[in-house]
Amino acid sequence: MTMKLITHNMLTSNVRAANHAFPLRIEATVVERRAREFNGEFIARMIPKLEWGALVSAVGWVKPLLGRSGAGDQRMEEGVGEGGIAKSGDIAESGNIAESGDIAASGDSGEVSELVVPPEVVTDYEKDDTFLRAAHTALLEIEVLEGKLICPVTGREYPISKGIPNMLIGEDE
Amino acid sequence: MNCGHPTPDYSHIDRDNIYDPAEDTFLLLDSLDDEIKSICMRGFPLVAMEMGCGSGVPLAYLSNLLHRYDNNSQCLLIGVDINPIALSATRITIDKTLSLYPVEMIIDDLGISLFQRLHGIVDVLLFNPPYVSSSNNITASYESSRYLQASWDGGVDGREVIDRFLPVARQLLSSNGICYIVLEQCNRVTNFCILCEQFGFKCCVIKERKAGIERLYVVKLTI
Repeated sequence: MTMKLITHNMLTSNVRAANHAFPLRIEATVVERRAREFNGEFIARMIPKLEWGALVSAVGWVKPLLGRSGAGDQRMEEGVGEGGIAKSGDIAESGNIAESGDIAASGDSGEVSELVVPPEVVTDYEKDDTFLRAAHTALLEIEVLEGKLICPVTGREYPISKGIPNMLIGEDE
Repeated sequence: MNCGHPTPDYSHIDRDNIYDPAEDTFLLLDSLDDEIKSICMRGFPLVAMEMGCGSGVPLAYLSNLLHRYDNNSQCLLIGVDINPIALSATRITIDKTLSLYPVEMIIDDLGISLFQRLHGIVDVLLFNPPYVSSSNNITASYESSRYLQASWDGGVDGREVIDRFLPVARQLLSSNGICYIVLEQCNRVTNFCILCEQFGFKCCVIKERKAGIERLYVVKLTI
């Protein structure tokens, strides 16, 4: 259980040369979708604290590893492909967030409607239930269990094991 | 004044590698009992963090108190520790409370990786630090695991980790936020409070208790 994307949105690279580089790229090998009770007020209070662009990127990085239906508890591992969904290796190289919608569309359209992250925060988001629920799904219902976080400046890798990211660095870093 | 809420179940912890909750832990729990109303009156916390969470008992206890205070609101709980074994245990401790809050664990030294993005966002920050005064000459020949040693060994005057924590706390704490730190007499509490004020905190000692050979304090910091 955990690391959720809300945490990914808060982590910066620790190495001195990176100067708090953000966001860390996610290379996940095990991602799980776990339903959580929606609390609109919590999500609304969180929105202003988030870097929304980084959340969109994060969803793009992990989405290929989620199950076909995207509903309920689904555990997908890298290399297990299904139907028209592109392999995660292809996705990682695309690097372009805007394409994530296109990539998903090539697969099951039912999955797209389950996990769609709006490209921007909408105005009056506090009252927009659809937006808040989409944010909730992205922030709290996707869990990266295994993989790594990669510093965008230095390439330094921070492993994620059993859902816990290890941000420790050496004294010389 | 303990309201008698049950201590979270921590029977699962590996005592060879995780600090076994003791008087210092329970003093912090008692402080949270006294403070929960003050905390929530400033606005239900959005983010609560325990630095060096160890067994996770204080964070789990805080979660219980928050649920009891207002069962409709939600708070993000974050545990940070250099010890991955502690983080796994913390997660179980919180799970056992049946907390509905999102819980996140991060292996890090004083949460440096969160420093930038959580600037001014943490509403409750707990720290029961390694506060024991020791000579810097203590080496790995000591029998306890390095994790266990790191959980109590505060170096010179027991202040080495605590003092590194202060600028991090100042950065993380929200304008309404409150930080609670456990100290012992050897940490030179008055001197510590002066240092806190230099960092821009308002500082007060809210609890003091003699426990065996130790005299323990809980210090409350706000901005």
